[in-house]
Amino acid sequence: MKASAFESAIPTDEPILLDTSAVLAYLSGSEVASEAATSVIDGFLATGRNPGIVSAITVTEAFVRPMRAESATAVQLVEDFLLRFPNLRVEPVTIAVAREAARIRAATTSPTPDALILATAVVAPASIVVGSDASWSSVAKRSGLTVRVVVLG
Amino acid sequence: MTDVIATARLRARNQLTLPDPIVQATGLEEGATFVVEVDAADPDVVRLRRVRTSYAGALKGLYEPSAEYLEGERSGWDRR
Repeated sequence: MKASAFESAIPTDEPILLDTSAVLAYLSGSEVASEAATSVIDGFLATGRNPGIVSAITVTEAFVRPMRAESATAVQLVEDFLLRFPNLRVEPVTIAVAREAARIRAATTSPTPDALILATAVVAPASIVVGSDASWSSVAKRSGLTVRVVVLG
Repeated sequence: MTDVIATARLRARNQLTLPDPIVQATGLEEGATFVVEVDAADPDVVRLRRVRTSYAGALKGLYEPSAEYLEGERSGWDRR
């Protein structure tokens, strides 16, 4: 999907859940999905067009590499982005999220982290999930979710 | 080494004006947001850290290829 196509795919004011794949593409800046991720995050979230949500699972996944690299600067940048970027909030893995993830997994055999992130969109709620995994549309459909999956890149 | 040093005085209602040399040296603009940090063990040192308006490409080279990295992280849930 081209960057301009996101205008119509993501209606104004609709809450967006960013999968970790979108966050990493954005922070990396040089991958196939980076331009599209930047369009969504800088173009929609930063401007207040759409509120953004990330799962606490994404917090873990985004921190591992910087911590493994022992880069205090990188850790700080990830923390500033996830916790202080305008119109972006972190949604915890609550009992409700865990239960919904179990329901998704039971219906689809989706991997646990994928199910937890999709469940976060259900509970938050976010009507749109933005990520790089094309199979999530099918997972959402098979588990009866009403969220729409927008695939980057 | 510190390149620019300037003094600022805290005024009524906790207002602090950043000195011009600091603003000029950093390219700060109106509306800039900061994280203000202080270590309780060293309260004489107060740090201002700018919150960027964009983090696009801020960690270039760290995660790539990020799909592979993420797959590794998620497959870790299946390992014993």
